[in-house]
Amino acid sequence: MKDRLKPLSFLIIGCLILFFSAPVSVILYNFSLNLDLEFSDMLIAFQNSFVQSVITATLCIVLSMLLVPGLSELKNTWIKRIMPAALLPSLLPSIFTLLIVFSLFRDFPFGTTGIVLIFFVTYFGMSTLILLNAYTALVGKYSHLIKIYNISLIDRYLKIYLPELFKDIITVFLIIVLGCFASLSVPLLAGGGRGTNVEMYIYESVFINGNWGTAAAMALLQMTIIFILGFYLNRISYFGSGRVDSDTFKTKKINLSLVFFLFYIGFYVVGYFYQLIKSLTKINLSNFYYSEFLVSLSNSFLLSFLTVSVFAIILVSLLFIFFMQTKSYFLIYFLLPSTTIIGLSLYLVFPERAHIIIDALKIALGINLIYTLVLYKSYIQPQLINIQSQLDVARIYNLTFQQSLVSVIWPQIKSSVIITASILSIFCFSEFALIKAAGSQTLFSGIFIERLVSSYRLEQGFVFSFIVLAIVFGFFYTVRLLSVKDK
Amino acid sequence: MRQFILYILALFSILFLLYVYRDNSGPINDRTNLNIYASGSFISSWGPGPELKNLFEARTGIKINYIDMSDPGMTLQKVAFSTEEAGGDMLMGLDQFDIVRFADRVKWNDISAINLQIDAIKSNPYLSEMRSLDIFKNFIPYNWSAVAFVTRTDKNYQLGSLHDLLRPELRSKVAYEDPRTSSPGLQFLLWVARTFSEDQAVQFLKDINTHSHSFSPSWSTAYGLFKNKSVDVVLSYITSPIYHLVEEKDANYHALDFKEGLPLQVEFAGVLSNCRNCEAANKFIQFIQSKEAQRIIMTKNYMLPMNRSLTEGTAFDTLNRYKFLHFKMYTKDEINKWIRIWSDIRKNEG
Repeated sequence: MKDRLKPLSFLIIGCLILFFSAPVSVILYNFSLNLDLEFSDMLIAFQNSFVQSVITATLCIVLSMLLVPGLSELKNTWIKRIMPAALLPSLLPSIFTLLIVFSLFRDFPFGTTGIVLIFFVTYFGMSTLILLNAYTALVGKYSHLIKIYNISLIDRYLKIYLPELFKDIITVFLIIVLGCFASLSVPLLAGGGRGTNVEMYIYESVFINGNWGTAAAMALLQMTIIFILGFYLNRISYFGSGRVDSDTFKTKKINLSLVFFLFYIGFYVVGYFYQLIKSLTKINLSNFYYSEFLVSLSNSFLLSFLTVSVFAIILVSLLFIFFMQTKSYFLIYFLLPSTTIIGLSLYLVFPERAHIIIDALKIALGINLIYTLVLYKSYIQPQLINIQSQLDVARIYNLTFQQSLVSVIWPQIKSSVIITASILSIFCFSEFALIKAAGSQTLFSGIFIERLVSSYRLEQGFVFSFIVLAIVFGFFYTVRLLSVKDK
Repeated sequence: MRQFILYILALFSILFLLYVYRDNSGPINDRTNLNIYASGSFISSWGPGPELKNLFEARTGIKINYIDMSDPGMTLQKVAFSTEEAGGDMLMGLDQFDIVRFADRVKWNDISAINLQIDAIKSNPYLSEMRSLDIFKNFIPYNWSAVAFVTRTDKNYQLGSLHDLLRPELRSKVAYEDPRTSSPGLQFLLWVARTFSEDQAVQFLKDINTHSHSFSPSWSTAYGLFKNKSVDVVLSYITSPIYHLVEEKDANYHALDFKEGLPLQVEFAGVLSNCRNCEAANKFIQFIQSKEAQRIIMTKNYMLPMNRSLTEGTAFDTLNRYKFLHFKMYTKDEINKWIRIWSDIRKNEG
């Protein structure tokens, strides 16, 4: 049975490689590769991107790892409910984070420090939540062993958790590096000379020099570096990070980690609400653009539905490859962060004016090209490694992939898949850079807010961003409640 | 699992049908429609697009479909790349830099015969040089403004020249835009290049680089910093205070007049040579030069009309006291040279 399906798994791997490398292929097909690169400029761009991203990622991870043991000891329901607010900086348009951070400083530290500061605010919450999720599961897995051997806190941390979390740390590292490499606005505004990063170089090549060949060469180079980096770091990791969910053996109500983390969340949320209240006092509610807003919101729901559908197809394909035990580790490092390259490739492939569903599908593909592999690696792959032995048993008993998926895999990865799908959906409501680059003709909520902000209406932008967030979080909270009731 | 496969099959069938459907019935091939590329803010309900559309449709019976042009560079690249696939008949919202950078890759119709702006331009001493330019054959200007530094009146800054931007009290108080990613930013760069000798300009840019608060990637970010009171002065347009006065009833903003004169930003419209409904496009070109259309553009786009008499009795009338520089088209080489100088200054600073 397994041998009979082997060619199919190779075919699926081939299709996925084609899909994830399609943006660069489309650009290379349409524009001849221009390797006539200005070496010194290119070097500066890579050097700046590298310095910004590595410092940010290291800082986020080190601080997250310091907080995670303390945070994992907390079992308060209200604290758990507050935690997702830490994702806000990575979900809201970067202009909001920039304004919140800038309003705190009389003399903002421009340069690498400034870039790292804003990137840190953007990614620290996300990094802590991902690592906390992984760490909590590990604590559960080893709780009995630790009790039996009475392993000290330091030994526990250095000899068990840290090596086991290595893969998760690499994943978070890659997510942050990707985000920093892809950012244009933060380095430009906060960076001074350090603002010239890889995305800026691609932007300059395209929009100033009209040279897509150079942009494609840079994107290819960027993709290769991230691929090699991810692949290499993965090879040197010590163990697989399998885990089970169970209760931690010690609980506390409050600790220093929580205080620090709540300070971080509070600083952002208070900053955001301060801007929101200030905006509410300035705007005239009768001049609100309700009809356009509702249209953009419903379009974003459609985009969200299609994005999750595309994600489901990719996920089932990845699960099939995993079930068939076909070597495909390299696949999840096909990461391309450049929204400019992905956007233009979609703009070239899809018709300019199409039915709204085709237009939304175009963006859904783009969002999946950027985020799916990273999210799969963060949330789903660790769960799969844990059930590998169960799948071995399933194969021994000749269970088909369908049977294994329904009775073994799905029940155990369900919550991670829902989290991943929810994150993808939230991106659908806030994304605008990709939508603009892809030349979409449909008004999505992210674009609507961006249009307001770019036409003197910053205050309305803040208010609408809040309404979108409230609706989206309310929607997902209801879905979650209903799914809990179903159980 | 079976349900999942059925769901996927159903989804793909619908998508396939929709893809086929668009070729036969989409407005792209319907020659009774006029398809216009325009910016997002132009076609939004608060922009001039919807009102212009209603008026034009009522007058001519020709239906307008706006195509959102999120970035002129990207759109022109698409038009140049796949002429047949591009759905627009004409394009609005090109500034003088877009024309220089990208317009030569695309073929444009000669619309000089329907260019009614000649008289309006003749009467405007700052724009009169535009008449002799080649671009006037393929593009018509439909609104303009000047780039200026905007401040809050209660700050009481008395600034009258570019050099005043280097005053000690303005250290870290002025938000600029990066000329590589923003049109006002590029205007400022070329304004400096035009005002000083090359050596002086380079030195001035170096000084500004260390004296400024920031160089934002876009006008909206810089203006956000200004609205947020992170800075006291922002590089924007002379028409910006009019927006606050009219829409927010806030008179606490004003644009600063500089003795060097303020550089002009002009927006143009052009008809693509592969237009499907060229006749309708020509009618629209004539229409946007009419007084009614110019008034709509002025009040919704917060830009000045080509016909200056339209500003009489409006808040825009107060802008006539400013000193402007004469409109100038820069060559691609000039633009690239100054961007290169700017990039080098920024790189060496970091």
